[in-house]
Amino acid sequence: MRLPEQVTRLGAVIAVIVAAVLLLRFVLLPDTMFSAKPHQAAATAREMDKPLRHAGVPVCRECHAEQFDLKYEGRHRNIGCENCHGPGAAHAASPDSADLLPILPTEREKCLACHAYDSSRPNGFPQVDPQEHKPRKECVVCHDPHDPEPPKTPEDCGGCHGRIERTKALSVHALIPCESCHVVEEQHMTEPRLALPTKPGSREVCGRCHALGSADPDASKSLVDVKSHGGTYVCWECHYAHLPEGRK
Amino acid sequence: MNKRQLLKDALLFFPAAGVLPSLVAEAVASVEPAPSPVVPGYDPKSHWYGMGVDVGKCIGCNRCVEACKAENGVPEEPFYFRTWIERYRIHADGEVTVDCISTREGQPEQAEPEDPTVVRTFFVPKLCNQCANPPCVQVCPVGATYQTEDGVVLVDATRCIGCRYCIQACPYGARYLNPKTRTADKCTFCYHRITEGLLPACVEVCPTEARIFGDLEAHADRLVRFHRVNEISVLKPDLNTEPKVLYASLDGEVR
Amino acid sequence: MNGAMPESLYEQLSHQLSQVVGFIYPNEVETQWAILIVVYPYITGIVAGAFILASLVKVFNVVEVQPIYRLALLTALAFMLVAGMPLQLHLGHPERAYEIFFTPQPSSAMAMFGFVYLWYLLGVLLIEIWFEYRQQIVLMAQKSRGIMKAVYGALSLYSKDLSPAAIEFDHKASKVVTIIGIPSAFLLHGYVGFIFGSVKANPWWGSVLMPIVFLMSAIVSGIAMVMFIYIILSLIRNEKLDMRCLDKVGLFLLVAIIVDFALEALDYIHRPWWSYRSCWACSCRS
Repeated sequence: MRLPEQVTRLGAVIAVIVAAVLLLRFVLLPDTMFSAKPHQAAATAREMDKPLRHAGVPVCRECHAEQFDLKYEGRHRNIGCENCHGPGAAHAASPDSADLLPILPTEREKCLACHAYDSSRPNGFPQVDPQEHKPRKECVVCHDPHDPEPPKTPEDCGGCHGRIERTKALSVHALIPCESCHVVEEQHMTEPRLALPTKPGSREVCGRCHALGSADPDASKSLVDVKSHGGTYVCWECHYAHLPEGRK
Repeated sequence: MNKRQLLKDALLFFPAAGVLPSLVAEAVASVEPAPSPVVPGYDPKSHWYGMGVDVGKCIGCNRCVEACKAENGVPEEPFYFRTWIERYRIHADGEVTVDCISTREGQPEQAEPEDPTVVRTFFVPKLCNQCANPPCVQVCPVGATYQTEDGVVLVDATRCIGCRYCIQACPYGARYLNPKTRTADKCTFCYHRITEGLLPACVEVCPTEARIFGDLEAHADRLVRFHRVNEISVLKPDLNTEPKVLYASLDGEVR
Repeated sequence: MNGAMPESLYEQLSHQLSQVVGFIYPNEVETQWAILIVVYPYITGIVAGAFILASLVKVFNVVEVQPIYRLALLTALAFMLVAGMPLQLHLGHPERAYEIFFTPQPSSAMAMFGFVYLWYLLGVLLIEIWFEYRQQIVLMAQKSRGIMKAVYGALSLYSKDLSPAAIEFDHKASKVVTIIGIPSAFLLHGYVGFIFGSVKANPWWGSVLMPIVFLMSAIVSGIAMVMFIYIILSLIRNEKLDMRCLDKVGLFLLVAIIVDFALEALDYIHRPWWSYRSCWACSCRS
């Protein structure tokens, strides 16, 4: 069957375009133009070549071994130097250059960034209320940042257990001291994780005030038969002793 | 023109045509990659990088965010983050309040009064999860973002066309369009540091070891232990992205 | 090193940040796909919809719509030629856009769509219009002189056959191309819907219904646009509207709107249903 003239012309145009595209793609132009892989390899190499801004603790130690040794067994032993002193790779590369010296932060804000009280911080992390704890005094006057042992052993539990203390302050148990229910060894104040305080193991601790027959006027509305109340659980497994009235 | 002239011109055409492809090849040759890696002896196939985050240890100091911005030249404005910290507050009535502490300027002046309705509150560090099945790599139209053999997802800023499809495709909000280069940008696990045996900047400065960096292929590695002893969660596991940032103590309310 | 970003962008983002209720990831304050990416699917929708309208005449023999057959084809072509503009303009690097065709990633819906678009433009629409207009172009080539003669000659690909058999063939070829064109039009705009529907990161988009909804919306907007242009053109030319045609087209539009609305409603209802106690669909906490 003879194809109509317009179809042969259209077909010719299409054939020329297709041929040109195929020719360019597979014959004339190099394959690297049509593949992402060689470019990705080059990009990886460029990424590896980017400049370092932080040097890392081993590099700082090479010149500042004294500070490293001071920090090594202190409470800040796991904090990298550049956490406080800022990126130091440029300084490590040209130690004599005055423009590249790392910062020596002594202002309160630097320490308060970690140690100011924030309710979302984990329980047991040492925190202070910036407005109550030596306001306007620089932290470094009493605490050496490389070995930040407090000048006095804390007597207060609220320094590390701030959220608990502040929660308890709102509750009916506000005036009950922590030691009333928790047995705290002295070592806990200096090496907290090596000597953990106890939680009451039986109901008798709470029963001192809350058992039937107790004379405590503040507990008179919440007396229970300690032996039968609450199934098999110890009191604090249901009642939150730091805020027994509940959170709603 | 007559037939003779036409034939002569046709004959000249073929050698002339041969010059063109070689010229083009010359021009394109500058794109050829460097033959050996920048770090001699580094074999990407023997590593598979991941990160561990212990939510119970994060104190929300934001040092990691500052260090990352300093190390990688991330724009300082609070709209571009390679890593950031979220604060969660879960209230007794089930209400969950989330805010990003990395976008605010400095510490608040006064500590907020204690809110007794808050049952749980914590900080969650977030960053690119360097997924093993990355949705961002899948959707890039030109292959400008890709996964390396050691498990890091990188962006080739010289080829990215800035279409933002990868930014839309990332379920974790880890990507942004760099306003200066106008290309997609994201956390690279500080690739330039880890290939030299250093730690990423965020891990380097974290004061409480809330961030752990490691090599899941290694025999002895902090991350390998983290992976073994903790109850591990990942973000959005139902999306089949296979994230490589492993969270310990991750609350169920975290999105 | 870290430098300043454009002032206008900073102001815009600060303003957007102030409008946020609840929480979103800090990188997502900037709206990534904005008005340009809204305009683009609308335009391709008109392309697909106008072509579907034209196909009603050619394939389904709805003779009442014949008066606007050519207008529908030209509408499709006109919008198809400019549909790429908003895409090009929104890119961070428009000068690198050709890379989508040179190094496409097969797993990327956007990359593959480039080829679907090319196929539709070159393999369907242009060929359809050429067969439809060939007779007229050859006649105009014969009647004109000078540069316009050359232009019309080139457009007709220098074919000169105007015999009844050739014209008959043109009509048949047009019908065949339209038959191929209908699934191609479905593929064209369904694919745009798939570009959005496959984004599992965004619960407002990621849905199986998205390509279908896009397609039905395309039919609605395509038919509506052709109707609108027809009315405006008739006003300009001072011609009487063919009400029989418009009534028929309006009827198709009504059916399309009802189906489209039903699908959109389904799409929206299933989201709050799923998000009840689901962590995925409720991931935006605003």
